[in-house]
Amino acid sequence: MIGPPNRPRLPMDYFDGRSARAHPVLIWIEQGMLKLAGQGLWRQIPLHQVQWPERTRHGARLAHLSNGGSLHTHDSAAWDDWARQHGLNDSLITQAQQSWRWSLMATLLLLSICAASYLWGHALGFSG
Amino acid sequence: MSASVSSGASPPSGSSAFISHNHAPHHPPAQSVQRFRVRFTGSGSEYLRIWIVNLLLTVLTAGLYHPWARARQLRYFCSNTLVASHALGFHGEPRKMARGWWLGTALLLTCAALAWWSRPAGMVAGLLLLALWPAFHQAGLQSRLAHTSWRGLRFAFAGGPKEAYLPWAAPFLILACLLMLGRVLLPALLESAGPLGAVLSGSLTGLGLAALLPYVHWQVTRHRHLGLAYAQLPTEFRATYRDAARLFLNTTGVAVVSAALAMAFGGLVFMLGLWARPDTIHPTPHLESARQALPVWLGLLGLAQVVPLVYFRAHAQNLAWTHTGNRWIRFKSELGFMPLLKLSLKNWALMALTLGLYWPFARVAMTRLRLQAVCVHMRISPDLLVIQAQNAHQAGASAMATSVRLGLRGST
Repeated sequence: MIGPPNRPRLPMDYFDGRSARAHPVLIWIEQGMLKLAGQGLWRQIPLHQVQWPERTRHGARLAHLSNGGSLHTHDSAAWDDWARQHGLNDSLITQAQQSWRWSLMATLLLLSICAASYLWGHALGFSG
Repeated sequence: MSASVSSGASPPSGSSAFISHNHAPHHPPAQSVQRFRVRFTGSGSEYLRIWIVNLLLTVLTAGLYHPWARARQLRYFCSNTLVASHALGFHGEPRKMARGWWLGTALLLTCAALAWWSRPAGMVAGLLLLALWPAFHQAGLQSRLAHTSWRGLRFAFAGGPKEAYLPWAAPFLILACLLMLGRVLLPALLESAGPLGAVLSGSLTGLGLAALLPYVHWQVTRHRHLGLAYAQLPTEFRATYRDAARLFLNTTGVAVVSAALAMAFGGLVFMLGLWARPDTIHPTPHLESARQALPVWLGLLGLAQVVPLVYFRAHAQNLAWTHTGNRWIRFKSELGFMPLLKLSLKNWALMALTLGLYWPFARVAMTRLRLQAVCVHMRISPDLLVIQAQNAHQAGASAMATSVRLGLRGST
């Protein structure tokens, strides 16, 4: 049961969680389900039962499925494009982690909290 | 909508004999050895951004966000660790980790509150926590490994309460005997032999403790490595107490040489200083200069202890991992002392200069150096590895244990 051809499909390695053998599959999303199809293999999993990987510059993309299986790919750029086309957007935290501006702001905020804690703690210590 | 499964996939060819559900696994035939160097692809600049954002969220939530930050960190390091071009996977769920982390934190806070309220109550609570610590430690190892996978198969850590407490029981008993011996022996020797007796008693206790330390290290390492399992393959640990004792002896030798060199260097600088400044108005110039040089000498002595620490770290990793494995999978660690020393010194210097902000870069660089020193030797094709029935059960175990350990230690 292969989906309509206009759904972007991504080649990945599927591990069923019972053996270490990689099964080459194609994955796509349709009607709220993640579908994967390979040689003698067909599965569909609700999107909310998939643990999606976060976008990072380095590292493999591993998606963990609720049945113990997992999908692996080293082509992070292809995964990110595919995820974007299917509307799998990054969370706010992931966006913050990938942005130097947000990270700099987080650093400044942390340093401010440390400075404030030191000043107020010092003042409390003297007054106490 | 429930997931529909239509799996026409057949088990890997020739491996049906290895699929074991209710009886002991069959062992696969050995093949020629394939060697895979572990690779780490993480980046310091990327981890800095992940670390700083998660640290801020943890601080803003007074620590409540910590399990999510920890899960994100573990996932990053696992997905960047490649063995034979396949990355490790981390499956831990932050919500489950959070329950145990909060429980562990609550236990610690309760102990602290009891200690503040009543010293005896605090001591009892502390001893109780100490008594439970081996169980938490083992449960943490089991949970951490059960949530880590390679090529879709999860690792496991075998062992029950007996295995958790045995590595600590013997060292604890020996320590108790040594302390009792010292307590009984010391007054008797003082009475009969005077100060010489005290020195003798102290030396005997010291020698006993010196012999105990390698034993503790060996027992703890053995416990950690013997329990490892992947697919249907358990692990052996071949290092002996003699190997651990030799490591400690060598490290002591390095510490002595390092301290001697530091003192000699300090002495040389001191003498050069005296020679360069012969005119001084102080009545005892040498004594005054020695007093001024003392902090520098102590500092040098402290710095010199970095060398044996790094030496121990490099050789302890090589000893532990090179003696871990089984008939089909073995490890070989070749972590060099000099590269580790150079990296450690660089990391500490830059962390001091940047007030700790260099830490993510240091962590990534150290992880890369330590992981890429390890080579995995496999006599079995990974395609033939299958899960053992009990591994499936352990993989479904709650993450409570990891998180209690997290709460007690702050990190696994």
